[in-house]
Amino acid sequence: MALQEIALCLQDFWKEEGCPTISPCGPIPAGVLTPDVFFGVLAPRPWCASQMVSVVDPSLAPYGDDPLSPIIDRHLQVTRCDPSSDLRARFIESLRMLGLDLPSRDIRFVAHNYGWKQSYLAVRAAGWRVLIDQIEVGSLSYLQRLGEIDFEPVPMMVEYSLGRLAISVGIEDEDVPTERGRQIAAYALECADPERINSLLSLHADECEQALAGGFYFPAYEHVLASVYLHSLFALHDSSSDEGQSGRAAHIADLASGCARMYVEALDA
Amino acid sequence: MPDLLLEIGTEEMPVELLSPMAVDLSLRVNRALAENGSLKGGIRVLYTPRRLALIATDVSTQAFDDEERVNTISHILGEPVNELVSEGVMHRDSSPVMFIRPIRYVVCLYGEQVIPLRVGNVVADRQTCAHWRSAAGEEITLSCAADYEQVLATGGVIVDQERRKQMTRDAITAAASEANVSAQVDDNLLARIADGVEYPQPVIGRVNLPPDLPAVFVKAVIRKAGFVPLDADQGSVVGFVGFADGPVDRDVVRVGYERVARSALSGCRLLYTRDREASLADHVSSLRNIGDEVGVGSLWEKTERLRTLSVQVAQALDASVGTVDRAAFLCQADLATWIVHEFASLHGIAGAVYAKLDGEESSVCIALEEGAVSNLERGRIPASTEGLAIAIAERYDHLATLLLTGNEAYAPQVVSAGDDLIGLLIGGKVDLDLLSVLGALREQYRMLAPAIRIEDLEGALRTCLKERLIHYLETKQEVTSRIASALPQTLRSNPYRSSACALGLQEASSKEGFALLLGSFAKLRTRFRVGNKRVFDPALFEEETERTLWREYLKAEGKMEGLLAKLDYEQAIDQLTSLWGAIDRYAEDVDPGAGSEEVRNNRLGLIASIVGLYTRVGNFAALLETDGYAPGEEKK
Repeated sequence: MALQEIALCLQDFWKEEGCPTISPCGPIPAGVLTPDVFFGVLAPRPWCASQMVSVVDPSLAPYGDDPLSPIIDRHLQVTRCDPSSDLRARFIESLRMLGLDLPSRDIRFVAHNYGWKQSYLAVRAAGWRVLIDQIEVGSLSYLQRLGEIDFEPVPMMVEYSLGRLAISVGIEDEDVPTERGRQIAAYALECADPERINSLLSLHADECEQALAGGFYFPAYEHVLASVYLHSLFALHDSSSDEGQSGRAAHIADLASGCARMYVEALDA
Repeated sequence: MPDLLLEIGTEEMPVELLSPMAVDLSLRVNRALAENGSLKGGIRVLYTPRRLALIATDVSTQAFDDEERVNTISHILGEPVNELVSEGVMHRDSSPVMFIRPIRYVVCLYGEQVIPLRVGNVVADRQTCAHWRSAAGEEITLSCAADYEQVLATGGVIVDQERRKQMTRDAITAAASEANVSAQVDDNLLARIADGVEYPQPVIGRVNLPPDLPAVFVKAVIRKAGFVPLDADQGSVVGFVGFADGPVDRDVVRVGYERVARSALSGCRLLYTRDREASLADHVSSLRNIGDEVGVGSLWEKTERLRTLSVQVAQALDASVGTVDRAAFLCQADLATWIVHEFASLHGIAGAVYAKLDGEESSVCIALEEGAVSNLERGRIPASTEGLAIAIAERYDHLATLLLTGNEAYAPQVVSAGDDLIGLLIGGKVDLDLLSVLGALREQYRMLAPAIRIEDLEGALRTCLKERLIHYLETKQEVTSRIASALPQTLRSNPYRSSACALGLQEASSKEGFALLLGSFAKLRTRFRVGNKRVFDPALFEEETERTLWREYLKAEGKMEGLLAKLDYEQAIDQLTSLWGAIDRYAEDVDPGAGSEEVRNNRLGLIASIVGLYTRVGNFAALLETDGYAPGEEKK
């Protein structure tokens, strides 16, 4: 089974579960919701979809694009909103569909309080990282709140890291970094100019505010995504205190929260 | 009387919260049962990632029939249990309960009887769950509370966390023994592993070591991956023990574990290589851009303070000032390295490794390593005076910056920092006045927090040291609170001297003569209005009793001086005690109001000098007060 087959198999599985496949998205920075998901879960009607996403995470640059800490990865994000369903059981079933011999493997659901690196997006979530033989292959999360908006019913998210899942399935076992990943890592560490990156970050944040002031929440969210990527890149070189770093992340979260608020207000109007 | 079992079954909870939540549940239930007089035995707390449970033994209920019994226990448990689960953060449906993770079921049995306790939307029953991957199926019916642990064990769940920890420890020992090596079992890692599984299954793996990677880094990497490294010089291979949850195919799982360990080591090797592109000293300049741990300044400023501080401590310890200054200069530098960025627990240790590779003097490397180890292992006293100076300087600065940022003396961080500092000074036998050290750092601390007056920092430091010192003396040295509270004011900022004084005073207070000493002090205070002016002219003494007391005073003072220099407080107090006869005669024979003003003042000067000797070894006024003597009243 090739990586593409894994993706198709999972998409088919979730389609059967009522989560249709939508157009792929990316690249986006790690730890954020795609625009489809971000606005989709805010819509008044329960929103279900599965989406392939190309994820870039420059914070992993120091590890040289190791396959278990890939700078570029393909994820499958599945969102559904059905409180009666047992998400965990469905997730396990999806693994079984891939042909994994589950009784022989060490499968763990490790709880963590923040679902994923969602602090950028003002999301409060609770969930689990899923590990197979200590390799993190995905996560399950329940979104509790986005900005100032409490979810009722609660949207559920499944995210697979297809690269690492493939390793667990046994189709890829190469410790060779991809050229693209290698270049991103080398650029992030050796070439990127932190001052310019920081200026770009400020420009995107300002432009996001400008877009929000004009009522353009979709374009504003694109600037949020760019800000997250630049923040992640800048953080590699920024040694200021945690307080300083979380202050910048909080500002991005405020912008994301603004996008969410404005979108919901537009729906209500 | 039957046992009471309560189990709350959930989806996997955060491991770090399990123990505190279990204790919280136990305290709430204990309080509720105790208030109703129902608890005759004790309460045992049990937990796994998927359940919190408690067994209360010998629970009595005064009830006429089963229905009343059920209602009584439901009523007693209902409030505390629902209070606990309502403090959670998560919900996934319309249930009003927001526990830390969704509740799947609740078991509540009183002996064999089900107590249908309602927790949120869930009503308790007798159905518990086996290990979720158990071949026997997930649901198990419990017949009675007493069978709980045994039945779950057959379902692949060891619900007693201590037993899981022991199983884990035994497996590591067995693996090490089989490989003919040793294994250092870190209790924190052991607890983390045992708390994270319902049934620990050891899986032994081996990985090739990346070339040149220091052994201490290898162990940190393996630990961070959640495995226990085995100690061995096996050339290019390192063994480790991982723990799966429940039954697995160990050969299959081993491949994954080894893959994870290999990847983590290779990542560490990249970080190490990147770090080695510059020397440790080169990293110091990067500290200008890194904030310190309390967020008030840069690590560069901290380094400067540590240099000032550690040199002063070095002088008090008679340590090599040059070595200490160099070690202080380097001791924060590894915070600018990639390796410490990724493995925070290596702070200090990585610095020592890099210093050695850079060819720094061995005494500097030792000071760095000992200072770091002392930071990591509370209570560990560095063997070298240079290492001790670094460790003390780091703790002192940490405490001072916490106080500078407005933390109160009772804040947990301040308490911990104060305890560590006092432990180092007393354990390391360092005769150092901590407030006098502050003088050299006035400007540096003033620059750090311009809005705060340095006098306020002094006051906060004094309060903190006093409280932590009393705590240390009472808990670690078994000094009574009467003695711990009666130390001379002037010694409070010198923990080691205070400790010597407290132990001497405690020993002396058990001797017969101590009552005489207290009595003579009370007489002096009662008969004479003792001032602070300790000046007198022996030529003005009019009576022989005065001259005798003066001569005795001179003898005692000289001997006490030498004994106090050697911190022999017990003998010094004995010397003071030898004055009691002369003081008693003086107090009886001499009329405080007799003679000219000059003669009276001269007399008070001698008395003040004698009282001054008392104050050097204890606060005798406080001792008299704790004995029930009001100020001015003579001890009989």
